[in-house]
Amino acid sequence: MTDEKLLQRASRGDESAFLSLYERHRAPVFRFAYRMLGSVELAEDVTQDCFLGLIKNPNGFDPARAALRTYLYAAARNLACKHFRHPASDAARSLKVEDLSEDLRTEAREEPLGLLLDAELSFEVSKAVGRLPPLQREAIVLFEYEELSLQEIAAIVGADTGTVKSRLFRARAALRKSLAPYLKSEAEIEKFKKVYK
Amino acid sequence: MNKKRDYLRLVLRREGARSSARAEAHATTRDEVPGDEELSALLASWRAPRAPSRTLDARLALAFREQTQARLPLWRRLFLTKIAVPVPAFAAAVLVLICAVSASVILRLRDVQTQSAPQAGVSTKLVAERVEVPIERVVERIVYVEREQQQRRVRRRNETRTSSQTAQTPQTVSHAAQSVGATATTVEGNEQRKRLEDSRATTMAGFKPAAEVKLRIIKGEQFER
Repeated sequence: MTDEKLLQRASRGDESAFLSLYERHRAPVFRFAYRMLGSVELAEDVTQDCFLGLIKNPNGFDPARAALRTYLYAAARNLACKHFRHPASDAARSLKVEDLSEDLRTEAREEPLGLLLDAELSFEVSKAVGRLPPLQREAIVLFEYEELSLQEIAAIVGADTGTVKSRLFRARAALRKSLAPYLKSEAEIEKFKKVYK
Repeated sequence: MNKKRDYLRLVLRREGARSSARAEAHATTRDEVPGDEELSALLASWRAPRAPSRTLDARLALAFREQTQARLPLWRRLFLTKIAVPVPAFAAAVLVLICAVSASVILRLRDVQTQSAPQAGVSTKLVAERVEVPIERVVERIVYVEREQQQRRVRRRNETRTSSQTAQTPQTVSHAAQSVGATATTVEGNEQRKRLEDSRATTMAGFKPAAEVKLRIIKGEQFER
């Protein structure tokens, strides 16, 4: 069933339709909110508000203009911007180590040292992304993590593709600067790998 | 059925065309930005939680129910509304209810026992007997007699008596002594009558006004004479 039909049924009070719609889109919306705000609690709040807002005003979504996921990203982005304007958001922006849940570190390395290094690297990257201005952050998050096209990002942030492109370049430059030690070490590791092969 | 199938095929084709167009656009626009693999690999090390917690799912379902219930009409909301009652409060309410019901049952049983219990030393025997009760009808009637008529009657009687006495005196000379005695008795009789009349005459002596007056209206035709 398409998103539009599910939304129609959900707006009429069909809970199962609403839940299936939520199941379909909750993960990307939550991930985006998490990367924007750096806190699981805030990301969950944003996700909830996003879906409830969709049910409250189902006419706000126009399928002719964009896909439902794009609409949800835009809603999450607006809600995240509200958090940035709030004074308490500074505390929320700094990512806590406790927020790094177990499933963040399970894949790469199984050894304790490896897990620790992964967690540290993840924390540093999140800090570097968190230090970016919100407009650059949303561009890099949507492009690098959510793998959206420039057009989709432009539709979400309400800007033209050229602006998004320039924000991306600036964000990359800032990240290269802040993550320089890790980039070098990564390069060195690669070199060592090649040498020892 | 065929029409429906054709329609579905058309929709699927359209969707397919749209998605392929989207994928192409996606690829071209992403190609516009030169790739930075090194940075991308480093950024990929920041892994976000895959999905929100299950508590959010429950929270959201609850919020959805509340929101949709707010739109429902009042009668339907009344049927669907749920009230959260703490377990101790519910248990206390149930306990009170049980106590009240059992107390009322016990009281009723006691009443029944006291009513049905036989008195000490008296042997009772239930006998069904039909008793016919005579019904009397008491009718009260007040009889009014006109006072003038009564007085006329009394006068007539007196007149007839006096006329008879006067008629007797000239005829019976021989019985003069008897007649003298008779006249004496008639004089006495007259005096008695006068007294009676005096006593019957209405005087206001000893009259006391009544505290209340009860009026009874009786039709003139119903007078019994």
